[in-house]
This record gives sequence, C-alpha cells and structure tokens, in this order.
Amino acid sequence: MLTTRRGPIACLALLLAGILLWAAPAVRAATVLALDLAALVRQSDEIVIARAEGERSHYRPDRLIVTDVKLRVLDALKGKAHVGDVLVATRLGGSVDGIGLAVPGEASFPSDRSAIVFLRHVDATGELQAVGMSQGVLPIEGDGATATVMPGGAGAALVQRADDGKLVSAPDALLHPQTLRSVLGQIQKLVAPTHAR
Amino acid sequence: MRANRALAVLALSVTCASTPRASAYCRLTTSMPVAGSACASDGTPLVWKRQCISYSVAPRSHSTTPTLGELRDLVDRSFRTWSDVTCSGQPLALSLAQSAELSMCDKPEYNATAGNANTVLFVTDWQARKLPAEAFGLTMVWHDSRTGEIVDADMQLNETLGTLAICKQRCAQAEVDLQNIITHEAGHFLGLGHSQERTACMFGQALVGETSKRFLSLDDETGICATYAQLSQPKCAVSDYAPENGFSATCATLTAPQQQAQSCSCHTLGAERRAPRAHGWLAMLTGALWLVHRWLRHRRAHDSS
Repeated sequence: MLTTRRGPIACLALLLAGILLWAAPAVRAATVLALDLAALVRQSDEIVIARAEGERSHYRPDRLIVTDVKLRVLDALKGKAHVGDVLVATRLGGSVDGIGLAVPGEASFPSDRSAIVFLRHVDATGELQAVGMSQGVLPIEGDGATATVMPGGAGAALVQRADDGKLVSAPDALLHPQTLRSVLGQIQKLVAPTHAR
Repeated sequence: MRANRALAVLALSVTCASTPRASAYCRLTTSMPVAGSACASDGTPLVWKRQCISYSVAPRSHSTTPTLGELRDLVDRSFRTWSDVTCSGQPLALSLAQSAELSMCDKPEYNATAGNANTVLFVTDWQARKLPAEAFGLTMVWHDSRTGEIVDADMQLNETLGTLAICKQRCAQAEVDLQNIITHEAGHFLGLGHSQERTACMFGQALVGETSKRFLSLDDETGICATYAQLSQPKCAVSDYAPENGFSATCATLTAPQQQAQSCSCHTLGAERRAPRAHGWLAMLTGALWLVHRWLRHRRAHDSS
C-alpha cells in the first residue's frame, strides 16, 4: 500500500480505538524482563559503586556501534573489583564518525554523580554489561547520611514472569528513592548467601 | 441558584475537557537519557526526513507458527497503528509500507555506502550476540549524529524469553504477544522514546499478556504528531520507499573497519568495495510491482465500497 487509508473509515476506526482505549485498563507494551533487587544481585558478577570517567564508541565486529565506559570503583560490593579499580562496561549504541545508534532502554552511566552498578560478564573475554539494561544502574543523589538511591529502569519497559509462567507487569527493583544505607544493607544481605555457597 | 451551580459545573466540565493534557511523550535524541531519567534533556531529536519508509520482515528460521504471512500482516497492522494517526485533521506526514521482498539479513546493520533494509527480525541466538539477556525486543535506530536524521532502523525480537505469538483475546501461559511488542517498538522505529504517561503505548513499563491494548493514547498521538509536524504531506513514488542507498535484502560484506574507513572518506577500498548487485535492482522491481498491485487492490476495494 502506497499511502495509508484515510477518510470516514479511518475516522470510524479511530473512534472505535478511542472507545476501546477509554474502556480498557492501562497496560502496555513490553521489552525488558523486570529484575528485583535479589535478581539483580544474583545475576551480577560485579556490583560496585562507581562513577563514569570517560567513554569511547566503536564498531563491534558484528557491525553494531557500542560504547565502552570507564567506571572508577568507589566501593566494591560483589565480585573481584577493588576500590580504585577501573572497570570497563560496554553498552549498545553510541556515535562513530557522524553515525549514531540509539537503543532505547539501554543503560547510561552517570559521570556527574556516582551510581550502584550491577554488571555481568557476557563472554569469555570478560566484557561487562549492565544487568537488565538501565535497571542495572541506580544513580545516587546527595552525599553522606542524606545520600539517596534513585530507581533505575528508566527508559526500559518491564515485565516479569509469574510462577505460572505468565508475563505480568512488574515494578523496577526500587519503587521509590531509598537511602543509600538502606539499599547497601539489602544488597549486603543478598550477597552474603551467594558468597557462602 | 441551582441553575447557576449547574452552569458552573458545566463550565468547569467544558474547561476540563478542552484543556490539553500535559504531554509526557519523549523523543529519542542524539544523546542518551541520563541515568535514572527516561527522557534525554539534550541532543537533537531523531526524525525520519525521507517520509516514504519501507520495512522488511526477515523470516524466522526455526518456527512456522505464526506463519510468515500472518507475521507480515501483523507487522503491517502494528505500523499502521502509527501511520493512521491524524494530526489536526491531517494525515501523519509519513507513508509506511512493507517491502515485497523479505530481508535475508539476520542482523541489524546500517551501511553508509551500500544498500540497506529496515528489518524486523527474530533472533534465536540472542545471548550469543551479546544482547541484553532480559530484553524481549530491541529497536536500533541508526541516525546522523549531527542532524538527528534517522537513516535506518532495525527491530529485533527475542525468541528465547517466551513463545512469540499472535494472541487472541488473551495470551496463553508463557506467550509473548507480538503485536503489543511490535507496536511499541514501531514507536521507537519512528523516533519516540518512552513516555511517562501510564496509559501510553510508549510508556516505559509493563505488559500483561493481553491483546486488547494495541492502541495509541492521546499522548502517543501527540508525540508522533509533534515529531512530524514540520513536514508536509509526502508524495511517494514506488522508488521513494527504497531505504538509504537502495534496498538490499542481504547483509553487507564490508567489515566494520572498512565501513568506518569509508564513512570518514580516508580510505579507498578499490577492489574490496562492494559492486552494485543486479539482484538488488530485481528486488526493487519486484517490490515496485508488489506495491502497485496492493495499491490497485486497495483502489478496487475502495471503488466497490
């Protein structure tokens, strides 16, 4: 079809669509399986508090543009990284020689503040990616006792699988901002059994 | 007194009804949203400037349910949800059509110097490709990072997280409703990011396996209209639907470094450069005939009605 159909039929269809939309409860399209904090911790090889220090975009051999982000480790919560180390996290998208690739929902790593970052190895070379795309980066606002962890997952459409196998709507790992102290306490509790195994 | 109160209520109702809602839609831009934010606050918004846009389906390799024909119709329906939007009484300034030829390229890519296809593809080796394990669908929007012009878009659907299906009234257990995902991803394909409006198709959270919510909200329509408001109505000849540098059903043979070298014009590939392919022209011709056939069928149906 060269052009879209217009006129009375389209108006009728839109009216019908409007009525159905008005009558229907709101649930929408999904792209990413939701991970709660326990799943984020379980699926991470490295959990760190870090700040981005620089990034470089390049073509991967499969012709996708990816961006390597250098993360300075400010605190290490799980994995082999130590305070002061620099980890390199790779995310899909970026810009090379005037060609940009946007991947909605992908993680971004803040450079103007720190974040709790959940990373996993995706291949034998040790390449690291954020777990659950943008869900795997929880920005921290403020310092000291007032430091607050913000919900991640912005830009990602989240679902989770219920016990019966059905897909159901799901919240982010953090529903509301929480104090850094509280979130760190939860992560440490979740990490401990993992390490004990 | 009662009459006055009734008038006041009526006036308030009219005011509420006529007050436009605050827009929550989000446009993709040349910049990424900062961590914790759904919307990029800077960068140049992404937009198709070609206006006559084709998309191509790559056949699934391992499953015949749904059939290829059903999948192609479904993809059309999902895109039509967006292209049927009217903006201030005018049709959306985009014309979308599926190419007659299937895409045989099983990966997303953009070739700056050779043919392309805006592909909808089904991926079975998702993790081997190092794609985010939790993603049901990923749309990759290639653009000019200076102007924001979208030059190619590819939609990948993950076969490994559940059974991709065309659900009827409701999805069965462990089924992923394709139309909901593709309609949402088509919004990205056209340059929209995630909305903060909970009723929007582009809302960045949640899908229950239902089929009744495949429509756009006012916020989605406002977003797509705002994205293409500056453009006049397109007049599309069949050849105008060809993607950037012409249609190519197959993947490029250039390596990424070669493409980089070409894109910065600092290296002549000479013999390595891919020669124009005769079957590319054949594909264009086939596509043209198919589009004319569909257009005639549409006219015939219209005339008889």
